Amino acid sequence: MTGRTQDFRLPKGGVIDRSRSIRFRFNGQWMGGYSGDTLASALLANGVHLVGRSMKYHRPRGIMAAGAEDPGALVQRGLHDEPARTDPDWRATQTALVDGLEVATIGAWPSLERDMGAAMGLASRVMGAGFYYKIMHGSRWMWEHVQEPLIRRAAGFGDCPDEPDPDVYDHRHVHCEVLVVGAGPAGLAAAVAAARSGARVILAEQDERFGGNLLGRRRAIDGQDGVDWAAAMEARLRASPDVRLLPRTTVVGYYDTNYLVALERVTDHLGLGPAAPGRPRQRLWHIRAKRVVLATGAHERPLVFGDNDRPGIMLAGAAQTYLRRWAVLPGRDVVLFTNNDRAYEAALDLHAAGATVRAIVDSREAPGAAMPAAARAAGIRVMTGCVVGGTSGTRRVTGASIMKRSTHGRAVPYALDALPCDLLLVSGGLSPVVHLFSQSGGKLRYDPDRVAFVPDRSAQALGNAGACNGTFDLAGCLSEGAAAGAEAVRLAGFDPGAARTSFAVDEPDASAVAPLWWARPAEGHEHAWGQPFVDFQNDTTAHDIRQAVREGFESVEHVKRYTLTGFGTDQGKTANINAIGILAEALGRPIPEVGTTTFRPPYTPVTFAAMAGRDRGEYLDPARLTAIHDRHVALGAMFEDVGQWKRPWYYPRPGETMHQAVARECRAAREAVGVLDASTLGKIDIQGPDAAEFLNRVYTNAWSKLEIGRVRYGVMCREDGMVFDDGTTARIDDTRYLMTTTTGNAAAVLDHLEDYLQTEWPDLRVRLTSVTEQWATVSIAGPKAGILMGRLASGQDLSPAAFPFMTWRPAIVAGLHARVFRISFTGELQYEINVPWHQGGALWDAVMCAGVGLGITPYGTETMHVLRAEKGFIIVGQETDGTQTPLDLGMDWIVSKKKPDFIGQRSLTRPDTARADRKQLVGLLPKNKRLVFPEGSQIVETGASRRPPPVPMLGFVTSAYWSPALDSGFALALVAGGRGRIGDTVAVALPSGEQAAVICDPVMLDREGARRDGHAA
Amino acid sequence: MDTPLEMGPEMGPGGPGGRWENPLLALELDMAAASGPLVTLSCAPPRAAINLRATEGLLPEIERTYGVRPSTTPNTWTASADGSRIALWLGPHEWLLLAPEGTAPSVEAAIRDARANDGWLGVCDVSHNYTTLMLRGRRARLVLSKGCALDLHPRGPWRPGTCAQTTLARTRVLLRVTDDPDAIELWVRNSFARYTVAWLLDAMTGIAHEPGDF
Repeated sequence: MTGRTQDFRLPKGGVIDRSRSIRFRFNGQWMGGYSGDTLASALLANGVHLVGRSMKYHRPRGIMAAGAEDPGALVQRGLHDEPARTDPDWRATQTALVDGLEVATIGAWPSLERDMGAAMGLASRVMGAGFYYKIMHGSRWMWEHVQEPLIRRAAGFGDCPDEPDPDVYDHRHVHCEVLVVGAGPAGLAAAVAAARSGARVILAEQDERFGGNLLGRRRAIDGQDGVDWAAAMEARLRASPDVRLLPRTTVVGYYDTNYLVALERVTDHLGLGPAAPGRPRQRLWHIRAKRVVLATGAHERPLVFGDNDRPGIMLAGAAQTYLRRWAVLPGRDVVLFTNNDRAYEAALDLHAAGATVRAIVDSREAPGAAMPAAARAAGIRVMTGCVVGGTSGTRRVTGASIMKRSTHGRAVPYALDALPCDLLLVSGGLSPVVHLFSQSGGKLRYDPDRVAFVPDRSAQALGNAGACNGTFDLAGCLSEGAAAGAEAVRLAGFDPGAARTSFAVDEPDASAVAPLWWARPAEGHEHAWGQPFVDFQNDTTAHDIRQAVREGFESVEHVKRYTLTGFGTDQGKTANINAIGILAEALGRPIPEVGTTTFRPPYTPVTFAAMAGRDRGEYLDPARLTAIHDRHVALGAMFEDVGQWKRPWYYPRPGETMHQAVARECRAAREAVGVLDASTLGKIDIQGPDAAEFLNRVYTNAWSKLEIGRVRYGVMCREDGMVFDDGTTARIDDTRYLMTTTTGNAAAVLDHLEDYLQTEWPDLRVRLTSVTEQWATVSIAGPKAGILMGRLASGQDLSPAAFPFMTWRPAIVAGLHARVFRISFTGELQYEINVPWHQGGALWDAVMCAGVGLGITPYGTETMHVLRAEKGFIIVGQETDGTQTPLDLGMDWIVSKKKPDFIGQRSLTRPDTARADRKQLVGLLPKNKRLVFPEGSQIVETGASRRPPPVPMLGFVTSAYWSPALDSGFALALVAGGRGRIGDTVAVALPSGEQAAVICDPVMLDREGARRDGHAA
Repeated sequence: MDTPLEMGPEMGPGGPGGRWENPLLALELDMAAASGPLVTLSCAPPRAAINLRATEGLLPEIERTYGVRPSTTPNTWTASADGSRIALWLGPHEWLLLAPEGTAPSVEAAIRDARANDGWLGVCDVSHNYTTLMLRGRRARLVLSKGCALDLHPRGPWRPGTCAQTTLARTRVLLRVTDDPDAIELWVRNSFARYTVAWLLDAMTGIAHEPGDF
């Protein structure tokens, strides 16, 4: 087993557990690290800077930062060890090192060291801003067949697993008085100040360890080492019963009314493999907070200069953090390039740790006083008014070319000095992490003194504290944090007590900074010193931004999209502000006028599995089951989804096809007796003295004269006159009715009715209650249904005179109290028996038992559709699509001419709805009786499809089945002026050619209604 | 027809046949297996339930006939001394009245008779409309917090005496915090019962017994 040794690990120091060694693999090579390492710190300890290739030009890239802002150190985890759990786009800087961790470079092909795509780098001059847009506007064929596959292959952002994710992801809702985001010095101070009040406080920190920058700087607070102070604060918070600490938790989204979403990596740091039962791999928190304190810190900006992207070029603060937190020396030969005083401390720290600091290159003529003096005192060369103009090296930086700045600020295009180095530190100043603040609706303001966008006006109940507020010194962070925490609990209605807001901190004065957006070589030499990268993930350069301006782009949002600045998994955390500065210079406008792009959630990427949580498989959508469901399963039913309901579709016997089963079920219902579970129909109890008037207004037909015990069919329209729903309504007593709705529309109809009652007709004394699930409904139909009913309800007079069609009766059925409705959706003698839901199973058993000897046959929705279509009964949603009036459906008889008003009445007389050539419901019989037309087939005049297009469409098939009773295929269709064309032959346009069909009346069976009293048998 | 077609007063589970088939019967073993010292899930026994729509002026008479004055404070419930009758606030002018199993017709009739000609009164037996579950234990609220957006913290607003119509996972639920703050009753429509139980059992995985922090 070959491997690397941790040559760059210092012998002591760091917030790591050296007693716990960890071995991991990077691109197949074993390396060592310690518990407490991130993947990035462990790689650096092993001297590895080159971790990936850039997306567009495939340039070698290294580790630039130590946190979420790193643009390039993305790796694929577990590709070979656990292919189902493999995950692309892991940020090495935020991946906890675990034993056995297997990671690999992404986007490099065939290997990291020898990358074919690097030749692309040579083509960079022709792949400038808008490259992708420009080739997309070229040949479509070339794009689809050559360019896009090539780009995808070359770019690649890792491999997705092919298998379902085997892990559990979960969601949790939680409420609190104060949410503190970020556990650096400001966040810790805020949480401690808030926690003392007894209010519920949540502290969320993306890192596994609390302390933020205290872990990476040499600081003392009240005489206590910063690392120890953070640990003491954490211990104090842990002891507070009202505080919930959420380490490894990134707040990714800030939405309205202080609703925030956070991603907790619950077991990722324990390695791959199955977690304990109930332990999700990741958890998405839905946090609703009365007050929020944002303490999200700041990101250091890189500097833009020629070839500023080589591995070994690192943010100054990140190098400091690697040194102090992980005891890693990121390089031994160091040059620092800065535009501010703060970065000097990194050079001093590295110097103190034994590295050679060749020079501090400061773009300012006049830096501050204390830091340069300290550097010089340490023997470090300080070069003011200079920039790094270019670099050398391939897989690692080997040197920096130093140039003088002219009085115009441009770099004089020859090297003043060329310094060898293996670590080039850069610092362009600090950018407050205002992402969440901006997502919350807060407005930003550009502060020229701090060279940063800082929070201005808040739109929600929040406070900002520390570096994210533009307060970069530690004492300021602590006091601002403590004050914000106390203020938050006070505004949430709790007493914070006397909050301590002053802390003794020893810290150098390092606030001076001057903007440097691009160390731009003098005119004519701009391309001579290499590519000045701005967005390292998308390979956007300063040239691209200026080119976009030359091509007419001015808005920062347009330039972003044209140059791809700020896209990608890092969302331009290191790129955006530099890009704005360069754009402002190119436009000749001040930065506040240019403004920022929009900050959108998520702050860092969220896995789809975490978003889905448990909404997978059976939990994604409820399967609604009737009281009789288990009986259907036992009978071997195939099920159909109708809305959320599982309805029996057909009941195949062993060896039967669906066609055979449906034909058998149809024959049983026409010749003997069929039984259907009709429980899913919507049922609404309507009561009140104005109920009849209410029905008059919602249905198209008249209801005033419906007697108690009688049932009537009704159609309801929307205001536009189009059919909305249909069903029967029974009069239960003087002031009470029971309405049924279609299965899929039950909730929508109730909402529709309540809406009208509450907003349009508040004077109507009517009350509605959903009783869909109060009742289970078993429907029996067929010539022998009467015999069966007689066996079930022996006490009931079933003669047509005593129990006529379209009436209902209370009855004892199979020993159960029932409501029996004589209605028919099949044309046969039919009884719908309703019993209380919890007795539905018992009723079904009794019906099946009593049907023995009568040929009783359960039938499903498919047979129901055939039987009703043979009778020309519509199904809302099948024969209608929201553009049919009752008249289109041939239901003139159901539209009252006498009622003063009903919903949709006025629309029925509009010229368009009264047209004679509207599509009308008709039946359709194929000339070839074996044919069942596909639903949706277009209907044209005979021979029309052979004529040149456009072919006029007459209409389309809405339903089509095989009818055993007709011994033919048949269809219902909507045909222009169809009722006037009965007997005409038309053509149904099928892929195989035209098929002739004859238009007929939609009622194809028993037009005289002889079967409904059961005599036709 | 002259006589109104009313159900007999004995209508309900105690009526002829008297069969009340629990759709969760097949899941009761699973529910027992997933339950532990920290949280248990069980079926609540059947009760009569009546949906009441009424103006507030009617409440004194409701109290006289039903025995409990329905609360006008949103999301609260009131109960008779013996706990056999409970009135849950569902919305403005809407309550759910609970009563011993099988008594729905008599409760309904009594209320209707008390205000025979009140057009604004709506009374409807919904005893069979729901399946009722009981989630009990120190982790009951935690289980619900995986799929319910309410502030279920013990010090939050949902304390004994409160109820809410809300969503749990992907279904509507009527949630009642009983006199025991860790015993929460869940009312779901029958057709959603198995989904709800399956979801709850999943949410309870590993946490009914284990004392660690979840």
